[in-house]
Amino acid sequence: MLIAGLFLFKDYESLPEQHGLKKPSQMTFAQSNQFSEDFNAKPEGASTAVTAAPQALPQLPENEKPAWQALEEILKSKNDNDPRLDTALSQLSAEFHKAIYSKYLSLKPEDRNERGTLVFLVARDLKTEADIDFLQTVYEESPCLNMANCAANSENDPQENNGQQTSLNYPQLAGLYQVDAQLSKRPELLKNPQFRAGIYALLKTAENFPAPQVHEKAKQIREKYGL
Amino acid sequence: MKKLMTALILLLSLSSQAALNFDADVPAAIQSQMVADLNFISQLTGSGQTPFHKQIFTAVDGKTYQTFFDTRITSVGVDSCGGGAAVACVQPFFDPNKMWLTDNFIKFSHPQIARLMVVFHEARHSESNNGNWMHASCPRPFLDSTGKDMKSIWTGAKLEGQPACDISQNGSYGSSTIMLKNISRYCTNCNDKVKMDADLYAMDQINRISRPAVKQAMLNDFATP
Ligand SMILES: [Zn+2]
Repeated sequence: MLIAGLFLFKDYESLPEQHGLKKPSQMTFAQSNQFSEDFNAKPEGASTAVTAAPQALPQLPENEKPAWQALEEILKSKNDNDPRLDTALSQLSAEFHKAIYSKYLSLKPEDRNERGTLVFLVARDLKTEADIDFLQTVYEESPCLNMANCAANSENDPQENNGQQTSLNYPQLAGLYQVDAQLSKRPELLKNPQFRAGIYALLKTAENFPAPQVHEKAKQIREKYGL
Repeated sequence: MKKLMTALILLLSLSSQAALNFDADVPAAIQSQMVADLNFISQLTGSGQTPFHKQIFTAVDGKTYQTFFDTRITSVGVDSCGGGAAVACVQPFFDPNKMWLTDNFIKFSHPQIARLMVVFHEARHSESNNGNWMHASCPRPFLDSTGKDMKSIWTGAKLEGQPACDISQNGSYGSSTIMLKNISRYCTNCNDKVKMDADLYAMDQINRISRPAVKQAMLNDFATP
């Protein structure tokens, strides 16, 4: 964030015609009194990440094809409050889950919201060991360092990195949030010894994720459920 | 016919958003994303609120949020906001009612709630009668609940001494945290993802409240039955 000292206030008040029409970037640092909100690291530097490969339509039961269509539309729309996320996309078959795992891999690492949406769907509908295996891979990823290019180290302005940690770790945090919610709503999940062991392993993997925000949350959940 | 009706309803709902004046050079994609985000928030409905939310916003309600925004921000321009990864900025001493958005607003893949958090944070800075809710310097040392330095996770840069904190729940960080936490708890037409996102970002932002007593008061407020 760039904020000039308050001592500049009166000078500017007396000179609105000289400064008022300028854009923030047309002013020098000393002139600027802007509040700026950085989500994240520097945006420059083209991403070297793998570009999303075109994906064939997944093999799905006929009755779930409209749900897949809905999912594709939602991911493109940037309208996160699409009600279909809670209706058409709430009770899904194992085949649908499998298609989500593939879709996740087809997206660029920088597609944080889209990847997080897919993790959210699987974790909210947590059913099988395959789901746990998929989630494991999310915590085995290299952390995303920069919204413009996950592989590039960032030069964050710590002053106004407004929400940056949460966006960078969004897929991992969405997964933990839903695992916690599901264990709370469906305690019977942990009564199956194999599933319990899988959840334990998943949380231990998440605890090793090298972002404190994720590590702490995973540890908290593991302790909460006595795992 | 059904499609036509849907289109008309969409058009009407978009036009119900008070006119936000975009500068001519604001790319269409940024304009449409901003309008879509504000349109989403303007249609939100709620079933209650916490006392802190009532003091600042009066209700978890789309029209109320829209009025809050419209009475603070009337025009939007495009700029780099000092470069780097800035998403938005305001210059309260030149034109407190103008918000500048950067390309990053649409370039980076943030959840919709995160974009809204930023624009409502910025809108709060436009309150000249409240000293624009200038940020406070984070204390030295600035420690988390486990006694470790609060720092940028990747660069390791410490937040201590940086003007990146609020000492009141009413500032830009505090008010946007309160708004999101209330959306998470009380929104009646938000889906699970939006409620989750609101909670995740609220619990991120609350860490910028540097006075432990104020932070605790906020946590108590959020636990309101
Ligand atoms: Zn600010």
